Amino acid sequence: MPYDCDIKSLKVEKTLKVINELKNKKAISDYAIGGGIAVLYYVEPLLTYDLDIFFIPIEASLNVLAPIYKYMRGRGYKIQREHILIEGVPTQFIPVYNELIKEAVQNSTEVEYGKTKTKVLSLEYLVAVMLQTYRAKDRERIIKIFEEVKVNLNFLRKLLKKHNLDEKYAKFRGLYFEGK
Amino acid sequence: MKNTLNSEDCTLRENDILRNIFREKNLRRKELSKLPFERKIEILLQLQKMAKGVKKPKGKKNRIIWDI
Repeated sequence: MPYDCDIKSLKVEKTLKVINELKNKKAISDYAIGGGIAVLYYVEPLLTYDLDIFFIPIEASLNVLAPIYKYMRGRGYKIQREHILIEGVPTQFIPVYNELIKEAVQNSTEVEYGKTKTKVLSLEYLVAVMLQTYRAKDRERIIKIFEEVKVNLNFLRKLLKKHNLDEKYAKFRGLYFEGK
Repeated sequence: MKNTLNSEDCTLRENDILRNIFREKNLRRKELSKLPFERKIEILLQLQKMAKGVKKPKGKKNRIIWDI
């Protein structure tokens, strides 16, 4: 059943619509939400500030962000530090910088926000990406995911093996779940 | 005969109490994780508002609050 959301969270739908326009206007090839908002999609609400958008550029060039900034400036959105303020939401566009992230975007999950379709990194890819970046907050978020959501462990293990993250994962599990 | 609890009994009981508290907390988290995406965003906006009032440690940059 669709959730009857308040006006403020409906404004976020506008942000997502603008991001979809980028794809429709061929400024980017594809995208998916990652980072804290993707984690929030799966676990209990947590504090985060950025809307991270991983995107596949339309073509390989030195400045893959240029078409996005051009489009957003044309729409009148302000740029603040590394963010573009789209309908008030600080949005950071991150080009897919390795094979894992590219694959994660290509295999992301389509979800609905209000009446707008968007894409979020799928759970196992999200864990793999955070395991790769491995900052303190990534480790904390992976723990939350394992505690609160059912992860397809078979698929995750295959994915981690493919991207040479299986040893790191074993170490992580040993440290945080098996007390080794 | 008088019923008395020794310190070991008390520790065992405390462990039971803690175990229950943690179990309940986990259940609550799992329930919250099932909220609709839109509702989670509403809660996020409240969390950002609450965090805005907290003094930042030296050297920590101010984060951009969603202006919506």
